[in-house]
Amino acid sequence: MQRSDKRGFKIYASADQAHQDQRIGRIVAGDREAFRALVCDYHPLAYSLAFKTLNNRQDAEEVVQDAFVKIYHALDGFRGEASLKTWILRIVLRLSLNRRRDRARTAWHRLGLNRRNAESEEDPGNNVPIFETPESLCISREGQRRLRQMVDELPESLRQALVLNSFDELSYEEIARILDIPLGTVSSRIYSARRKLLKKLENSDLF
Amino acid sequence: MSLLPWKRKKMGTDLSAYIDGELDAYRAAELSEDLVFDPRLQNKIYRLEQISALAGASLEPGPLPDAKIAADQILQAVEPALAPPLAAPQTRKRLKPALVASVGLLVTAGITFAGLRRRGLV
Repeated sequence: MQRSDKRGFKIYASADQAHQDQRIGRIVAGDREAFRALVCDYHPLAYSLAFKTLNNRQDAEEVVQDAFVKIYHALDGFRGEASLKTWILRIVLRLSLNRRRDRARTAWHRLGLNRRNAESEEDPGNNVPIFETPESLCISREGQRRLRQMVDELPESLRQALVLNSFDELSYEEIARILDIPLGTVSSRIYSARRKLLKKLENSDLF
Repeated sequence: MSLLPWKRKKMGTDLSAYIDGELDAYRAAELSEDLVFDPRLQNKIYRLEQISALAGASLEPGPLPDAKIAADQILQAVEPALAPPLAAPQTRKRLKPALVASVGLLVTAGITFAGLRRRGLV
């Protein structure tokens, strides 16, 4: 039977939760392999979120490593009110935002001296298109870079909602849990982010 | 389709949720019907879909790092926690004050003995 909390979010009370509890129990007891399996399961998602927030490979890898170390130490306090996935992503997002804030404060970043570095990371192959969607192939690499810049310039709350919405595997409800905001706010933030981006695009020569 | 500003925003939010498949079944069916006959709505949906795809593509992380290698590095970082240290270092910690006390006692005894000897009492 599925229960809901006071905000109407489903409480995970099923075989999944039993499996999750068992897994956490094993990790807390010091089972190295159980923790290794957990990292392998969630690393791709965690890394993608960190990268999408930071737009820098090295920063994303460091943040994810730091996040999993923190997750390991905090696991015995995990209460199971949310799924493990949303809990992990919440930690990754928080650490990524901290890193983003710290980075913005450094003179190096303020002077834009990291730009070259970021560009080279966005271009892992020489002639191979990075993105597979037909839309992405219609705009140039420079266009993609500028679009990414437009996303980065969105107000923080809208950007976070948009970044999380770019994951197919995350529903609005899960995004609401990660950001700790009501479901309706998720919808309106995603729409506002899209509308602002559309306006920016219309004012540029990309669209 | 001239809507009041708040209704326009509500409609926009609904359309945005519609393309994400997040609208409740009843409202989604309503919108699907409207979409058939309303070219302005069709255009709005098309633009929202386009911007959603473009934004998604611009955020793509590219090739992901190997999760197994990353897991090994993370395990190394939490290793002390996974393998608690043996009791040996604690014993050594306790030994240190005992050693200092013994040396102190020996020095005191030596000085006392030397003093007594100088006075010819021993």
